[in-house]
Amino acid sequence: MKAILLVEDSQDDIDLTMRAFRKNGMANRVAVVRDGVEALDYLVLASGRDAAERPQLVLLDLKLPRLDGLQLLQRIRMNPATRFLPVVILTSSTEERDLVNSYTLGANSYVRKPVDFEQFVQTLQQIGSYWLLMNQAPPMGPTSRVGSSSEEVKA
Amino acid sequence: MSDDGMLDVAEDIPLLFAGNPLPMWLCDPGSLSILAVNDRAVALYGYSRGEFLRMRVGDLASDQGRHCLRSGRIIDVEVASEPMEVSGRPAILMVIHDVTSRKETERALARSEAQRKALIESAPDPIITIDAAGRVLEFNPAAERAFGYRREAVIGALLVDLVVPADPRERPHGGLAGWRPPILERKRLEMQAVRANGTGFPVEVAVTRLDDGAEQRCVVHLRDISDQTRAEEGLHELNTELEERVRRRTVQLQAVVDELEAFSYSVSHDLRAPLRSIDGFSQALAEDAGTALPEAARRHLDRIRAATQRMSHLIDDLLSLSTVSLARMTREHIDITGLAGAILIELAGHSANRSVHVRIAPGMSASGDPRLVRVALENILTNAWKFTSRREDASIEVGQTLRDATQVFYVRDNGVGFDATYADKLFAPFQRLHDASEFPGTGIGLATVRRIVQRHGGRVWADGQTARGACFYFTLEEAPRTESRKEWAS
Repeated sequence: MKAILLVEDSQDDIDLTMRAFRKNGMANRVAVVRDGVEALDYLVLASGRDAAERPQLVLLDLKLPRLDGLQLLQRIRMNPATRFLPVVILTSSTEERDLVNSYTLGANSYVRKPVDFEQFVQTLQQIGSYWLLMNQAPPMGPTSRVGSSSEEVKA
Repeated sequence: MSDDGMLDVAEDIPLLFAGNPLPMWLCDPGSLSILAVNDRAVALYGYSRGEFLRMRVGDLASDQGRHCLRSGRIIDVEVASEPMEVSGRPAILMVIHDVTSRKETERALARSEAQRKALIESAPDPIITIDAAGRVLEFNPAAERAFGYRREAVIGALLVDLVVPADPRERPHGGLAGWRPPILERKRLEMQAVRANGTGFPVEVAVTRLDDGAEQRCVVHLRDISDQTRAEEGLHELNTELEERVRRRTVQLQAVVDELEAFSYSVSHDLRAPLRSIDGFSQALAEDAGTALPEAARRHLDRIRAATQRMSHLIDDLLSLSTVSLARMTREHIDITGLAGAILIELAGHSANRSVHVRIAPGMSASGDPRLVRVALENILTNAWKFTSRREDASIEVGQTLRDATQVFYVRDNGVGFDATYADKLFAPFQRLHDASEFPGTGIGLATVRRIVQRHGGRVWADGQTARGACFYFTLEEAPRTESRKEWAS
């Protein structure tokens, strides 16, 4: 499993984000899912693995099909296995209500995607190095509880 | 006085006449000439004894039951006459009772009664007099008209059959016989009057108790308030309708606001995404094609990317304009001096190579929405910062002044200024007075400032001249009404 889970529905954004990660040499550590439901499935799967193999960071877009970013964030925080998982909102908007809702639901950070691609590359570089290298990761939830809590998450 | 203790009246007859406390005289039964008059009569009438004796009784009479005194004053009299024989000849003894004061009281009473009667008869409102048992004693013409009863038909009827409580629940069950109207002196109550034909009309009732000795009466004054009631009902309906209309409008307005918010939210998310693709893939193209791409093609890609940046800024500024229009406003105390300082420090942080002489007046404050006022001041100060960028000796001054009793803030710079001919275009969205290549901008900043200032009830205007700097003025409160608005037009 990868260290970074990118939750993004736009193919353009996926391609550009992956291109930026390639420039930063982090592309091989990124997994991509296209909506909140896929993301939950991925996290449920990951919770069965060793702590070292689970994602250390979720990059979350807000506007997603099916389960949107905020709903996904809420499920992640409700599940004991993922409630400490660092989630960085990576989106186009700086609407106040998006900021308020994201932080209310427990986002760790909120970053607006810059239009300038070079800035975007830099931004991703900083996010990656901060959350994967500088930040002290939270203790992961115990594997034994995952079965029941994943049911809870899917409910 | 005789020996046996009896009064010898005969002896004292002359004294009984002369000294009697009642005025009296004797006259001839035929000619009615006055033959003798006592002191009291002389005193009352003012004629001398001699004058009296030359007069006849008729000379004293004014009209029936009245006598005329020598002074001309008329008095009311009751005369008791008794024929008798005095000194052997027939005479009439006349004893005079002066009843002027009693008669006057009677006349005053009659006048007042007539007046009362006239008032009641001519009153435009129904007036009913009742006795202690609540039976009708008087029923004036206005009452006849209002109720449709002849006076004769209703005298003796019970008032409770004519006037009932307005609220049917207050009316007694099983007829009205047991119910007595509440007698509330000098208080008005609203009740229902019942016409002869059974229909009712609303009345205001005032009851006055008349206590004249043994007999207790009440005067019941009624006022038909149908018109008033109808007017009140009309007013109530009108109010209800108005409220309903306001409610509908508010709902519509809220729908528009919601739509606008949804729109700007969508713009915020969806309009920027394609720009990122354009910029990102232009960059990708430049990188991937590498040297295979001719120089001109690379320049085109640069222009595509520059346009993308401009559009991105435009979207941001438009969103901020719509945000200031839609945002809920609060009013708080704002430290303008501190705010201006903080913004200028931020601006200086972004351009370390510039040296700008900044002067901020101390102790400026205002009442306004802190977030919106910050956006406004940021826009004005960013402009000042931008348009002084060509000057070595750039200076920006933030101060306040008083104009027509209104606190006016200003930001003055010595930058490139603007052509005063186009001053009115400054605050319209997308209007720019400078070439974008010289001074980049979207033309929304001052439109945003104006929107914010307007939302505070204030005004914004500018003075300027090409190459001579600019001064932007704004107020955050409504101007006093009396002043001239001429110079505020911007």
